[in-house]
Amino acid sequence: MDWVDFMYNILVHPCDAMWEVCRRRHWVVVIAIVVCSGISAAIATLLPVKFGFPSAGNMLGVSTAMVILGVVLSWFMNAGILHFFAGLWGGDGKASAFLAASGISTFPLLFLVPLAIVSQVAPLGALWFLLGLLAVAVWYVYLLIDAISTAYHMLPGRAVAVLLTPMLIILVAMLITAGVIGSVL
Amino acid sequence: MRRETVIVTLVTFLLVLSTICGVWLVLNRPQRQLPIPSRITLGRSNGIGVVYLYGPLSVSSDSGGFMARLRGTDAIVEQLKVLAKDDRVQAVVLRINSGGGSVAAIQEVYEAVRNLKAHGKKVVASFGDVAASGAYYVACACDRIIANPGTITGSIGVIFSVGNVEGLFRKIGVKVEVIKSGKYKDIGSGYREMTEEERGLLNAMLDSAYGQFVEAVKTGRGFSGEKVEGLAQGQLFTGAQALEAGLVDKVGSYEDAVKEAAELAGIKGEPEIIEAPLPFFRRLLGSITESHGLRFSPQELVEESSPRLEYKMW
Repeated sequence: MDWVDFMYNILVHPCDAMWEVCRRRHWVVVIAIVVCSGISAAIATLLPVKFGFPSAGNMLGVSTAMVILGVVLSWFMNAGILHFFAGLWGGDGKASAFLAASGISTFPLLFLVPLAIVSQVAPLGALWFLLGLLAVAVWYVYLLIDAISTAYHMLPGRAVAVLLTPMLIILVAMLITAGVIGSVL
Repeated sequence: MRRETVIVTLVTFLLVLSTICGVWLVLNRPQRQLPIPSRITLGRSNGIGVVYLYGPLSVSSDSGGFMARLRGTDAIVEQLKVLAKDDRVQAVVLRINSGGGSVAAIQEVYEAVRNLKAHGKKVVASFGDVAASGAYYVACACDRIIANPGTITGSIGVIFSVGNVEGLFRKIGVKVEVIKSGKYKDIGSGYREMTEEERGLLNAMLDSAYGQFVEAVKTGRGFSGEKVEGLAQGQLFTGAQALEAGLVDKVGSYEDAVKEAAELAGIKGEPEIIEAPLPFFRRLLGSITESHGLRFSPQELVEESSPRLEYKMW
């Protein structure tokens, strides 16, 4: 499969793209997508979105580097955490396969810049940005679930459980901690 | 051409074009971003603006760079200008929690408050933990001053601090050679003792700045010269003591200041609070990086020893 077919599959047939990347990692394309997603997210945070408050534009260099680094680091961290929980849920697959597949799932972030630009020029720009952001978030979650399902040979329902488990653990930990602190105070 | 190639090419072109536009917009964004009030009220004029004066006040940070304007009084002056021109705003509450700052910065904010009043807005100062020295100078421009009973205020006066590192440098074997064009060019230098002549010149500067402070208090509070002189020896007051001395108008909290502002502006019913907060990083960096603790590096010692004229508590 050449890279045009691969990119087309990411857009239109994500399941096929995930199968392909789990079989043959295509690290160059995966890393390019992750880094470009980081750059896109950085540019989008630097553009003043018309919510009525200033952007982070006054810290150009630091913001850009932090956002790109954040996206790359969170890619690794998410992959590690979800690989652990996938194992707990009975998944069988390689961490490297999931790392590559989860890299593909950051593809929707590339569309943050066009969204931010639309918010600058369109009437009710902030509303369009919010709707677009929601769409990007849903697309990202869909691709991530697909990545888990493909890499660990799981049904989508179980993949959702893998995705939600760490969030639920954090929520419970927060509630317990809040409860303990509350009782002390 | 295959359909896949067309779609991928189009999407790639869109993303590349938008990235180029995005980078261009970021690099060509306006240098000054005025904080925009966070709430929008259409057709009503019962707004009370709130501006925060927190921490040491200076025009910009000593370190300069892109963070300087975020942390300086330029941002506060801009907010006051925005509120002055905002028809929704009938009054402004200056929420003050500061021990003062550099003379020029204080005076810029003072003038910005006077400009606010010239646009027909009522201004009420609300004191927090501390509103002393230069912060009190700014409050003198307001229509009313409201302090908590336990607020620390006063400290009316000027301070000129010069750190002398001559002894330390001698101990560590550092010698500084100064070549100057005029006799007084290195006045206030931290590398040597001050001469009596220089002390006299600096005292004259101090007296000039002190006179400006006294004048602001006289004008703002309607005091006589003798009364101000008695109160302007640098002493501190609690809010309750300041009320007895006439330095503040009422004791009360921030909520009381908002009510007072509403009353002065003739606002009926619940006022709409319009916050003009400082840019996010101003608040984040202002509390983290403004340190009055021990400094260790010779570079910092030299910077600390550079002379500055301040309306500042200590």
